Amino acid sequence: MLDKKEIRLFIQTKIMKEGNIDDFKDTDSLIETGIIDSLGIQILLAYLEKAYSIKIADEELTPENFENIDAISVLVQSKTTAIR
Amino acid sequence: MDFLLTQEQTKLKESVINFVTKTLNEGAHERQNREDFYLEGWKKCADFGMLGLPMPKKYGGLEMDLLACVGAMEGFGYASKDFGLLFSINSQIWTCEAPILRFGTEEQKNKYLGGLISGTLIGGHAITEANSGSDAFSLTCRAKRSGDKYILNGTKMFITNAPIADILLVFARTDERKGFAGISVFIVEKGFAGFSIGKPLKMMGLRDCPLGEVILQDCDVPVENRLGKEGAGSAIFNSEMEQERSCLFATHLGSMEKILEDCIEYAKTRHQFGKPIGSNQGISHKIAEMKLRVEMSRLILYKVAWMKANGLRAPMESAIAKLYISESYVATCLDAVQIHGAYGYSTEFGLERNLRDAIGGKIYSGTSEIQRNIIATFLGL
Repeated sequence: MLDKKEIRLFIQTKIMKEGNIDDFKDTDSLIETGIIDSLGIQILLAYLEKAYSIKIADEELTPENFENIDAISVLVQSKTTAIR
Repeated sequence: MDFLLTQEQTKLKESVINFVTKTLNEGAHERQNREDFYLEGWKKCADFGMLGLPMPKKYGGLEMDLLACVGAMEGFGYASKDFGLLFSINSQIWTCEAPILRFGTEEQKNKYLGGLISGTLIGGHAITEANSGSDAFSLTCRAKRSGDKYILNGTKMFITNAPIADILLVFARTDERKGFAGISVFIVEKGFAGFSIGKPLKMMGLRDCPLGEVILQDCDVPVENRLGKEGAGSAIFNSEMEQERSCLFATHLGSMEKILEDCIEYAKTRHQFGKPIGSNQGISHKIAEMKLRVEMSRLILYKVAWMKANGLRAPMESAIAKLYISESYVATCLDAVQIHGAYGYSTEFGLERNLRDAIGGKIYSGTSEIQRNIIATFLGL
């Protein structure tokens, strides 16, 4: 099972840089709260592809897949399961 | 590591140089003075295959990989005296054809790609607005879904090819809450009700490349003309830009190489104080710097093209390439004007035109400042 804490930690330390998302639920929107912007999503994408050895197509960079931590982990999970 | 183009890629580059020299340059100076778009030249480029360089053969393209495209564009930039046409063509390939190929439905590809590649359709993309340039995703053009269509309202500015375009990929906001992720893209045809073109805009350089304002007033766009999913606008834009920042700027590299050769020749043959001006370090060091810029530009450009051809992401690398090449091009053009003195400053010899055209490169496809922001962000700053 994918550890969502890793994704959460990456977002907090590498994208937000300051502040924290401890009170932030996995279902809260990263986009509507402005935590992730257009550059942030590219940083996150590079991290996910490297950390989980997956490829995410440009066509998959939609709000549904990056709306919140739950959505991101579902996307990553589907890729890692496919690899296995 | 292999830093050479293959034999096939080199042949393509040479054939582009031949084609451009023989068929596109005549009258370029006068067209730029008149600010005339060279439609006949556009059609010649289509016949040659330039408009479909990276596109699949099934749509009429040449299906070249990105390194081959970079080589071809380098050749185009080397030989061309008409950077307006060059810019128009690249704009269509990388910001209209490429996104349709990547994000389009089979129906969209069948409907538009053939015409764009064969030259019967002209395309572009429309994202910039009067108040959203570098901050592209703060755009205010709106698209509201109404049954089986979207209704678009807004105005776009500085849109390359707008005055001559048959279709434009228009970026519009479909979800107010989602910021950059609330933007979608629509293939808008010039005949759609509510679509019109404003006045053409006069620019410092690239004067025969038509640029204009686009007005969308209750413009009806069928749902089947949405490109990609709702909210895919930023992904489409970033994908376009990565390719444009490598292939378009290959033309700058080609131009820098030609300017370098011309400056060497001039420095050897122009005599002042009884000796060739190239024997003065004040001149020869400028030329050495030009050579340095050409070599460095080629290295980073080929690296980006290689990464993209191998399916790797290159957001930071393409920003580095775009930044370095565009700034090097301006520096090289300034040096060339200085080396040629009054002849360089004259409008008769094309060196001041190169400089005017080059300055645009620090602004379009993301300003130099935005490229530095991208690089810094990827460095964790």
